[in-house]
Amino acid sequence: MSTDDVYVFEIAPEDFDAGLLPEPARQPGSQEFKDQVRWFFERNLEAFAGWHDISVEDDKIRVSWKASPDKADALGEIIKKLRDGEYQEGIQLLRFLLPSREKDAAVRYNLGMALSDTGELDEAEEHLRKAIEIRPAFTNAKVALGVALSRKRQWEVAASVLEEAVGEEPDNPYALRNLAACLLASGRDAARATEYLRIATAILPEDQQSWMNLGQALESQDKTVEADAAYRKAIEINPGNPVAESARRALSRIAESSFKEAGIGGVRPDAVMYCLSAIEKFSKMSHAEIQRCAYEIAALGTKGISVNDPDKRYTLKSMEGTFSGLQLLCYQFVGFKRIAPHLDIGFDLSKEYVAALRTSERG
Amino acid sequence: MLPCTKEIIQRAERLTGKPVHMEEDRSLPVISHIQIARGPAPMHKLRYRPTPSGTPDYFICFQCGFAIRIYENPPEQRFDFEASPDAPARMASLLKDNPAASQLKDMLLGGLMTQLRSMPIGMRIDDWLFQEYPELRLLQVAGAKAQLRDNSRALSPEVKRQVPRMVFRANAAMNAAFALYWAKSLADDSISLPYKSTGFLPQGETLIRIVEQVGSMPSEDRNLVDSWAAEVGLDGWYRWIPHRTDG
Repeated sequence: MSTDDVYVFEIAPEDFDAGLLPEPARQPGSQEFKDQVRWFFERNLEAFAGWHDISVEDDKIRVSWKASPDKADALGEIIKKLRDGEYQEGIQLLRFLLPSREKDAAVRYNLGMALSDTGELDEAEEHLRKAIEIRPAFTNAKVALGVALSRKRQWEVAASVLEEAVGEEPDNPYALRNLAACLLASGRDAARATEYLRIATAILPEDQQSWMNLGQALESQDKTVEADAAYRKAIEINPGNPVAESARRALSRIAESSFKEAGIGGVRPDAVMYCLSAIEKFSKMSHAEIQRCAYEIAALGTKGISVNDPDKRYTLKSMEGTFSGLQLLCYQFVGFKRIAPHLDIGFDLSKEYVAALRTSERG
Repeated sequence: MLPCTKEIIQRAERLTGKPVHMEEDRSLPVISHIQIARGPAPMHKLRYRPTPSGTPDYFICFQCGFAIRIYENPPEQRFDFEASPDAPARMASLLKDNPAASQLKDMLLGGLMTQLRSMPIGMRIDDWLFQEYPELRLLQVAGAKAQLRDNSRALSPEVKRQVPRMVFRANAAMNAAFALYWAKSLADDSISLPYKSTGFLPQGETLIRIVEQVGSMPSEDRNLVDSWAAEVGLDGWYRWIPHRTDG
């Protein structure tokens, strides 16, 4: 244990401020006094000490503790709060620190980032510019400034700041990712954006946003096969957050577009056949059985269903057999038409469904 | 030695026109001390106790800060702080029933006067070092922690038995202010716990308010010390005399 972080102090029991104790426990030497003094220190050290020892004797109170490593520095403590999403408290503490640390680039940087994340973009820009002025080679502050400017939709200025950051640190994945996003948002140079994002995903293979952005960059260049793979990777990293939801919508968009291209007059005969099969199967099933089947396919779809792969490689618990991706989507579409007709499953098979209904009615 | 330490020493030497002589001193009763050259003295004498890290940079910079602050004033506004002529008698009177009075008198008076001058002005110096020299910060925090540990020893029953009540209370109030200053800077309330538990925190808070209210320019340092002295009952124990560098 490093002695640098160990504090010890001793006081006489009569020097303890009895006003801090409940009235019946204010007599030094009594058991109540000892218990309450111990409890007072326990309570006060709980939040700050990694280890502590409290001894309350008749002639002496001795308290020793070791500061928790997490509490070593105000800035470290505040950054932890920000990481935990406690923005308001973190921002308040940083503003509190600022007057005594006006020239501290790290304080400006963290305050600027927190304000940017909470949408106070003008003040964020001010602090981030100041951080760079104090420490001109502070690349991460330039990245954060680029992000804040992008959020203000000042694409040109943002791209210029981010170009500078990439120039300083060509392997900084956050600089690369944000510059690429800026290039894409401003409709500039998707090929260069793709190049940056390939490097970013190689350096940070688990960064969901980089994969999402890569998918978008590739899709904008009609490289749908590669875009499909990038979106799937984004979903795999964290299936339950809004980025994954956007990736799913993008996958549906790509699948639908490929699907329509392969059709005749905008209608896919194979999909009509699958819809017809679904109509027939569901006509013999109860509402609850259809619901179970439709929801099972929807749940499967959250992991991504490959609509352009003709192989029958999917199985369901709610229905016997093996199915292709397109087949499942047709079953899902028809199923939801039966149980929740107004729900959009994110993949438009309405023409195929109408054609199948007509065929079914003709019998 | 860190580049910023060299820079600060050079700044002190340039400003005062006299060299800073530094030496390690295991017997020093405080962690570090500077005797600013007065009259014909050819140099400033800066002494420090050995540090666990072996790098005394922060203490050197901190002590140089006192010389720099005096010399940032125009010559007619430079003052030295010393115990008033009747201070030894005052201390002797407080110790009159203490069998160890003769050994304690000078030590307690010297310690109390050093604390009264160094602590409030030291907060200005710490603010300055914290803002201007981030590379020193880790050593600064380690130095503050060492000082905090030293300070809390003064609350022990053994010390209290030896020290007049008035001295004990003035010392504890100033130490409470120092602890509050660092508790705030390091976002760690446990630092001020010894003073919270002994009821000295309210007076420490008053002293901190004085630091916040008095101007931070070196020309206000006398006012700052005077205000602290009034709060802890030490007015009349010291005097300010014009700082002289001639023979």
